[in-house]
Order: sequence, then structure tokens, then C-alpha cells
Amino acid sequence: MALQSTEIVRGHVQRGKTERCGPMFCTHYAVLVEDRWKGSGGAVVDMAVQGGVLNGLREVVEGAPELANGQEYVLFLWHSSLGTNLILGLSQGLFAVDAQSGEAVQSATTGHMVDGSGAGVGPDPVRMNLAEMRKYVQRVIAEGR
Amino acid sequence: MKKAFARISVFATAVLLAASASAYNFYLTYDANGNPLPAKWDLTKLANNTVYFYVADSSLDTADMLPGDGYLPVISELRAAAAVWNAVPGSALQIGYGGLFHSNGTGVTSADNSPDDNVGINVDFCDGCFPPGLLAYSIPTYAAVPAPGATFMPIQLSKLLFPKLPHGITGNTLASWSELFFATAVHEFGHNLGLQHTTVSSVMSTMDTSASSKSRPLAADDIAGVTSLYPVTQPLATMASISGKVTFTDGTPVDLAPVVAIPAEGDPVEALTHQDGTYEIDGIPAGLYFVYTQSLPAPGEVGYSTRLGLVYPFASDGKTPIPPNCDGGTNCYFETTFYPGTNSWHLAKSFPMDAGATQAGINFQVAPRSSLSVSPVRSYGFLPGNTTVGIFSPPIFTYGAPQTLVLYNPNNGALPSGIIDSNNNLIPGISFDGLGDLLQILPDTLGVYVSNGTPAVYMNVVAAFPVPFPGPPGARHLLISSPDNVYVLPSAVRAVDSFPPLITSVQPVGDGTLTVNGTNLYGDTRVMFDGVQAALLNVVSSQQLVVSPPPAQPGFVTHVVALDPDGQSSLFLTGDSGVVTYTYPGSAAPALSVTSGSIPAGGSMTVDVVGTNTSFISGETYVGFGTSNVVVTSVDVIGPGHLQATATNNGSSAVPTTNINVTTGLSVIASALGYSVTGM
Repeated sequence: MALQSTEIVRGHVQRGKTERCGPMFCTHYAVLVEDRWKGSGGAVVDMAVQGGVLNGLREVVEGAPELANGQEYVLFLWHSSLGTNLILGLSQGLFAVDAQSGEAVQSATTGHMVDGSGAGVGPDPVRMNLAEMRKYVQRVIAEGR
Repeated sequence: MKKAFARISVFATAVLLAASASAYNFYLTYDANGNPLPAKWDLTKLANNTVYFYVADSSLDTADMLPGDGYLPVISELRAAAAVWNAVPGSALQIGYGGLFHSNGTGVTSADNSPDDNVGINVDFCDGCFPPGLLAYSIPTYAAVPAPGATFMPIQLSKLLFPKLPHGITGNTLASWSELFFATAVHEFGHNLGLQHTTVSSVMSTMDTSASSKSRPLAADDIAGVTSLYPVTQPLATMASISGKVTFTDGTPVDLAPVVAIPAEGDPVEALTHQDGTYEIDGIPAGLYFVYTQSLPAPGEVGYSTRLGLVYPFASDGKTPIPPNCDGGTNCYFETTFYPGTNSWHLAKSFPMDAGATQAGINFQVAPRSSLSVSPVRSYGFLPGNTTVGIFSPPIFTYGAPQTLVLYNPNNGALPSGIIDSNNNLIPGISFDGLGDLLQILPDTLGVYVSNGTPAVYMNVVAAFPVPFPGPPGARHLLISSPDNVYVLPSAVRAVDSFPPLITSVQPVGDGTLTVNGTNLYGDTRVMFDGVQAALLNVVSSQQLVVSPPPAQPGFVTHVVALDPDGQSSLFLTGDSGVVTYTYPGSAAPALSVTSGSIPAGGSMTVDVVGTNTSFISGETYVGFGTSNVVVTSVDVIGPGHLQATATNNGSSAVPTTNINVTTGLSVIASALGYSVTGM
């Protein structure tokens, strides 16, 4: 997942507007970047989640996440040709940061945290210490596998 | 075994989904009085109860598809996938094929979502919509706020999106004739109808447990779901229902708990509890059932940030999603419990459910858990003597030697959590059992192996003879017991009493018919030419059928697959790459000549169509005009090369008649696909 991402950031999100992107609605969020693990974007990264409400119509996408305004996340993003960043695997690249424990909590755990041989990275993929996770992701990126 | 895993990865990416009679398995919005309103197509607005789907005409990456794959096979498979839902007798809704629509390659059309857009389902191919890890997704669209007095939320438009180059999760290019592409398409059409995910291994289940196959895509749970949403008159009178309530041991109602009616042999049907803990399972076929409740996966499990990826209901303001009253916090989970309050099926009560019977008061008190000890797993296996092609929900023969069953986590090498530890050892105390006596696990055959980084547990199993013998083929279910809980995997295997069909060659007879040669070919075998079924003319023997091939264009190469009613397919033996092909004779390209002019906005027109090298067939030829705004109300086939189509333009712009596309069998003729279409 780290290799497939074009941008990996940690930061708080602010909900923006919903607008058309390609064939669908996208609900935008501004990520106020506090730590960048991959990529070269600015201090604020635009990202979007498929679906939302526009002009009184709702588009629903099964599995698309609902981000909490003001919440801190680690986000594995993929730059789309639609002109925005989407979360890898719909919601697989979304990790909420638990400020109290200093852990990243996977909002979705499938297919993500695997090492180069494809093996799972630990017995508890749901929670991971933020610093360890950062170190791990950067090692994977550095090794290119 | 490495080879087996390499092949398995192609299938393993299948998506997931399933529906049930519970309102929670629909897309819900609450009205101001707290009534749940499901999103569904408004049958009163659809001619002949039919919603049409349209396929984008120019955005598929045909250049990079597998040899022999392309628009025509893809369209035929999409038509077949839609038709699966039309075959449900209790459902009034039909999905019709409306032809092609024009797309600019990003999934955007000029008419897309515009106010005058006709209702329909647009199938499009869009790379920018697909971050890695997604096969396809659907976007039902409906009003955010309920209309006063509404009893449901009318779906106004829906989209089914694939990548430009359809692929599996590992990135492998996917054949349109594959099991996975078909299951994905059927699953996504289910979403387009208004069905959400369920847990019972039906086509609407996620890939973590889905046991859907190309020859038998729908399970009883899918049928119950669509029947509940679009019932014909007295829809469920011939089906049974079970109702009750699920509470924690302290009396707190359990919200969003799956409650499952499951026979020892056959398909389960599920419902989810409401916020007050009550549930009602409708659409249960007659039979003998156990009833159990099992916690949904946690948020984050099976690849979604909500539990099972469900879109939670929205409040009447149209803005606020309403998560379940216990959503991933401490003690939101519970111990799997069979009625009446046991975790052992041996002690569970079974209910004989006759047609139309109701069983109320099936209540559960469940012990809370802070987490789940076993996560969902997927099963696959091999046919005897063939360890190269892995098959999901594998066929287990009701005779012969034990066969291997493998359990794994389909999520790119992740551990089958709760079954295998990080050192790839079975977790102490874990054990396996069949539900009922018809699936036996041989305990001394348990083991763990790792291939291509994917850890899996294997065991040998026996599908016992049903009583009375021979009994029907059917799903059998697996129980995984950890020291403090039980996990039920419905439809882990499928009991069969014969080998799958195999096609080894297809030969022309000389009169336009073909012999299909192979093994295990019978009168109830369906021979598919890509997504179109050939007409069976004669059963010469179990090794030879005579069929009339569906119409196709000269030189077209089609992929021939045999499907048996017990859920088996010739793909089980050949894999996707070993499928027999047949090349239609001739080389002359088809062409169309149509009445010159335009179909006026808000008006109708009868268009005369003369075809060259065409095979128009009454009732089997479909006409479209490149936009869902134009509805073809009749097609009058005058001969193989002549038809008249009457079309109504509901849009705000005139539509040129040369936008026409004509589909018959495997043939699709349209200028967007490179064929000559001229005015006359």
C-alpha cells in the first residue's frame, strides 16, 4: 500500500464541498498536513471521498468512508486523473489517529499492511503505534518493496 | 502449490455482497416519523417494470485486454449478469439492456445527471475512479431528503463503474469470461437495485466469504433481498419467516446483529437487527433450519471503514448518517449464539419451516466481547487430480476420497486472523467442524502452509451422503471454534455428485450448427458463447452436444464455457486461459443504413434500419441511440437484414439516427465500435 500511494500524510481533516469529479460526486476534504511520509505536496492536501450530496441528490458508494470533521488521520492517497487524491482502496488507506494512545487505528484492514513477501505485518493489524508505523512505511518505501 | 496460489489470486479478488429481507440491508433514509425508507427503483415510473442499463461505447481499454477479449464479450457478460436478477420469480423488477451510450472516456456524458436524464443504469469504464485495490463499484443516486409521505426513496439514476482495463486486486488483467468478472458484475447490479452487503456467502457478500459461481450466482439470501424490495403480488406467501430480538445479557438491544436461518444443507438467509434489537428474516425457502446470530466484522475488517462496508442509514435531514448504537467500541461484539442460547450446533434447536410459516419469538441473549477472535475467511479447494486450479466454495463430492479444503484471508497475504498466529502455527485450541452431519472434517489432516507469502490452513473433508439419498447438491457450512467463540462460515463447500463439465473442442457440423465435445455434458448443461447461451439441439452423449450458436459477426472469436446447474463450470478445469474458442466463419463486416434525420427532443420517430451481413432476430435484437434519454419502445424485425425501431426522445436535444447501435446475440454494430452506420 505504501508503494502504491502517491502521497502519505498525517493530519487533521476539514470537510469541504461536494462536487462532480468524473462520472460521480466527490466529497472533498482538506488535510492540514502535520507529517508527510511520502509525496511532495503542500501544507494542505486536497483529497476526496466518492459519493455525497449535491443539488439535493445523494450518491452512495458502498464501502466509502465517512470522515469525521476535525479528526486526525493517516491517509494513504492516490492521485487520480480526475484531479484529486482518493483514498487507496476506497477506505483501506484510512487510519484514524488515537491521540491518547498515539496509535493509528485502521479504519479498514484488508490488503494493506503487508511486507514485501506479502505476509501480514503483525498479529494485530487494527492498531499500530504511530511512530513504528511511520518507520515501517518509510522502510518499505526506501527498499522499494 | 505455488502454482495453485498464483491461480487462486486471480479469483481471490472477487468482491462481496449480499442482500436480505432486513431493511438494514437496503440503503435507508429515515423520515421525520422515524420510518425507514429504502432506496429503490419506482416501478410506477418504469414501463414494464424495467430499468434499462447502458454501456459506455468508447472508454474500455480494448488494446490491453487479453487476446480475444473486448467490447463484444464484455457487453455479453454484462447482459448475462443483469439477466440473473431477472430470473428471480418473486421480484417484479426487470433489468433491460438499452444498448450503448456515448462516453468521453472519463465516465462523463453530456446528459449524465442532467435534469432531463432518463432513469437508467450507466455502465462505464473509468481509470481515474479506481485507486489500486478496487474491482468495480456502483453509485445509486436518489434524493437526499424524503418527500412528504414517501414510503421509499426513488432511485433516479445509477452507475456501475469498472476500470478501463478490468482487473483483479493483484492487478492482473481480468478475462471477461472469468468467474470473477461475472460475480463482480452480478454483485454490482445488486447494488444498483438497492441491495447492500450481507454475511452469508451469497453474491451480495464481500469477497471475504462470497461463494457465488458463474453457473449459480444467486443464493437464497440474494433472492430474499430482491424479492423483499420489489415484491410481486403476495411475494413471500410461499416463503417462511422468522422473527425475534437480540439483546446483550444485560438486556441492552444489539443493533446491526446478523441473524441467520441456516439449513444443514442449503443456502442460509440473513436479516440484521434494528436499533431496538428486533429482526425479521423473510423469504426463507421451506426446510429445516437452525438459527444463529453472529457479530458483524469490526469497522476496518473485510476492507471497509464501516461494519461490512454498509452505508449506514441517514436521518430525515438528509445529512446525518446514523451509525449503529454500538459501533466498534468496547463490548460491541458478541459470542456467536445458536438458538436457544448455545454455541454448539449439537445443542441447537432446529425448526421445520413450511411454505408460508412464521416463527416468532426467536430471541437471543448474547455475551458481549471486546473483540472477535476469528475474522472472516474464504475457502477454496481442488478437484481430485487437479491441483493447479483453485475453486472457491469448492465442489466436494458425495462419494470418493476426502478432498482438500483450504481457508485463507483473501486480503493480500494477511493472516487468517484467529486461526493462524504470526509464526504460521495453528492457534492452540482452534478446531473445525461441519454444521450438521453432512460435512465431516478429518482432524488429523489439519495443517498450515505458506505460498507466495499467503498463509493458509488446510484440512481434508468429506461430504457425507444426505438422507434420503441421493438428495440435492447444496451448500455445506463450516464452524471454526476458538477457545472463547465460534465462527460460522456459510457455504464453505458445495456438495455435488458429479464432476464438472469440460469442453475440449467445438466443431462445425456444416449446417450452421456445432458439436460441443468434452465430458460431463448433459441436457441441463448450459453452453455459453461468452455471455450468450447457445440453443441446445441434441444431446448425443455425455461427451457431445449439438448446439445452435448465437449470432455473431464474421470472424468473431468467442469463448465457450459449459455451466451445470449444481454450480460447476468448465472453467473449474480449464481456468480462464484454457477456455476453448470458436471462430465464426466469414470476414465481411456488418454495416447499417438508417433513415436519415434526428429524433426530435420530446418526440418519437420510427427508424428504418437496413443491415448488411446482419442476423436480426425477432425478440433478440436490441436497439439503442447512444443515450439513455432515448427509449426504444418497439423493435419490429422484418428480416435478418431489416428492422424498424420506434424511439421516444425524453431529452432536451435532438438525437441523430446515425447514433444507432444494434445488438443481436454477440453482435453489436455501432459507429463508435468502428462499423459503418450511414443515413439513407
